[in-house]
Amino acid sequence: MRLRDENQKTGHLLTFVSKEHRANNFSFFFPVEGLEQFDSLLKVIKGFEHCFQGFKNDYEFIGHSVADIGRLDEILPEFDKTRMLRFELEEFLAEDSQFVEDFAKIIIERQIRKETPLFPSILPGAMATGSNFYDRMKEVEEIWENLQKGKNLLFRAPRRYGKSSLLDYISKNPLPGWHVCYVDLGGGKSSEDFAEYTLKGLIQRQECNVCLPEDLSALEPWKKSESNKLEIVRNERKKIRENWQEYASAMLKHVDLLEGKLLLIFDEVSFLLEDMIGPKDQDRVNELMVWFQEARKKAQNISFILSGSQHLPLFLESFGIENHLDDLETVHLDLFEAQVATEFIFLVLAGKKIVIRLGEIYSMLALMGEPIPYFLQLFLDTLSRICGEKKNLSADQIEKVYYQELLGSNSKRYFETIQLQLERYNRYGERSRAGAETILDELAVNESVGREDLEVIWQEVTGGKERFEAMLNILQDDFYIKEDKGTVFFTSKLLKDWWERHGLAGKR
Amino acid sequence: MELSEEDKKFIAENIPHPYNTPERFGEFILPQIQIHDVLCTSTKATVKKLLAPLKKQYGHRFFCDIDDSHRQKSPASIIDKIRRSQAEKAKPGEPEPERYDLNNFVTKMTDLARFRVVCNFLSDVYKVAEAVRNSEELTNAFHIKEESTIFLRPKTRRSGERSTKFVLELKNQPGLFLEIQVMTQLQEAWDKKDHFLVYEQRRKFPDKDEEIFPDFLDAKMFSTAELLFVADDYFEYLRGAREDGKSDEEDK
Repeated sequence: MRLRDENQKTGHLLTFVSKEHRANNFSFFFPVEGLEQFDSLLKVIKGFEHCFQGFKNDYEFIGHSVADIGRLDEILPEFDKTRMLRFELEEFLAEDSQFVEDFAKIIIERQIRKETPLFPSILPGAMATGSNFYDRMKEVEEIWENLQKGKNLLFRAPRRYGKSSLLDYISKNPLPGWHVCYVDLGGGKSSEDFAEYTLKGLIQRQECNVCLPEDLSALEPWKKSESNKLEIVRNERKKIRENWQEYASAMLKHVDLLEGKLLLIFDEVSFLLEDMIGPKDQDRVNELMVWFQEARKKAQNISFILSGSQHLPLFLESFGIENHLDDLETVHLDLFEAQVATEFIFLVLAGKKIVIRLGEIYSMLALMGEPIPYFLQLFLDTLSRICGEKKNLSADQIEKVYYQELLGSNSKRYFETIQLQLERYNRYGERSRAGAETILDELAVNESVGREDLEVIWQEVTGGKERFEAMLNILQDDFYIKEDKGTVFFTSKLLKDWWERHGLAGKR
Repeated sequence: MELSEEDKKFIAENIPHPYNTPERFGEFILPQIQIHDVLCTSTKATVKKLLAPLKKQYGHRFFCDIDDSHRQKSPASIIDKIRRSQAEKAKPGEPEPERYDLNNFVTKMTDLARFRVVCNFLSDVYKVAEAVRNSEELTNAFHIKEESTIFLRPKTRRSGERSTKFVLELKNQPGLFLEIQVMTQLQEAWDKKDHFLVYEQRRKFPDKDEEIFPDFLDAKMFSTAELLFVADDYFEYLRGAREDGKSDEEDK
């Protein structure tokens, strides 16, 4: 991979000329250095022409041989340089010289849809918004379809799969007739927190004002500054602590006064419940779960999405908590498919003016294993930063970046949440953290380990079999381990490598 | 370029349905000459590399440029050329002219892809021509034919056009041609005016010079070409006095 050469002015321009409106025109410029690129250029142009067949009702496809792209707008009046993208031929040719049609199609489609920004950008750890929210429309449609049918949903996926980004997209793009209120339960540790965080969510939205207690409603808190809103919540805290159920029930009851339907999204339900669970706290969780299920049944004008980890129901079960989630329709968020991950890498790097070959993308994916969005972002961020500095990275150097930079001490801060998760494990019993770490140690140095062997290891460290099942479920979400036919293994090579390097290195 | 009535008739009768209309015939022609356009781009890039040292050497003044406005032959021009070639009669003592049709034009026409290098002075044209002629990259890839109309005797000159023309045929793909024209700015300026004032008119109404040019516009344009040739020659003299003299001074 290397930085694109932006200085070459001679090349080939492919223009898509809209039959409807000139503002829809767009073009691609391929700089060419000489006759040695004739075959490659021909392959790319023919490839694009083939892709164009799908759009020929709306566009004309015109090629131009260009000596100096800087002067082209004087000669081609239909040319709009603000909608011209520059690519190198290699970006659309695999190492075996085959045209990469998927890349051409995705970039044509994004141009036609006028995606803004055109290339998804990455900000590791931040929610993906706008066009950075990539390729989740199938899931968004599935969710709305279910909601329209009157179903409440349990939205499940392992950590860092992009659940919050998707829920954020839904909350910002509601269907007509819907209001959406997003409640982040992350950091909550009690039923009272549940009610308080719900209040926090409701006071953000003007249309939810009717749901608030009369005195609060009169204050029109949605108009206030963030610090004023916090003060309002602080002032309500006492009432909530006195009787959280009464307070929360009142809020949900008044939603019936809303015009249109309200979708209440509760994100990070798993975190709340897991943090509520201690060795003796099952009853409190049970109480919240029972109340919440009842509240959902009573609510006439509200739909609910509860977002949590993949194994939330099994996790609750293992703590002997009755599953009060069975009224919810489950929607899963899967990983990007390999093709989508490949296109995403191409687009992100293209946006950073970096040329990457298909084979290099495959190498990246082989290095990191399953393309967990958060880790993919980290890898891309690190690679593009270093490529920007060095201008050129060989396959060996890409591998070096993976091991020395991404898994190195400079990236430690990106993995801090892993440490935090480990600390939370002690809530599930004495030495639970040590037990989990030992399981991860075993998995990090082996391709796979028998489930029974892990149970023995757990028993040795924790002194009993209790909670092994629950911990295995948690680890499946937090550390992307998987159980298949009695054996357990890491699905994320990146996390396996990280654990081998940092988990074992900092061995207890 | 506009289609003449004869062109439209030719399209309707010869191009397969549904492309046999003035609106859609381009869709039949353009895909067949896409490869020429691609060859043009790659060759332009190579020629640009060839010219770089010359442009650097003459960096103190305009030396030459590749002209982007002289683009791929249009589908209308191709139809016109096919149609006229079929009607053209052999001139006494001259070989039979090339006959084009819709099946052979892609491999027979040598100017489907073309570009111009426009130079400041006549000697710049010679230097560019020499660079093209001697380029290993070009001679390895192409069979090259060179033809110059700059110094034709009056009795052999049938047009005012003056240039050095290279017809390149790709060695590993016989029948894939490209044309490079090298000329001065004055020669190019004349050519552009002539194209509009004379060539287009004559194409629409062949063999009717007496009717379409009652004011002897064609003769005036021809004479202007000769005048501009004299101007180029004189500019070359002035350049030599300034540049070569200066160069001699610097050598001392």
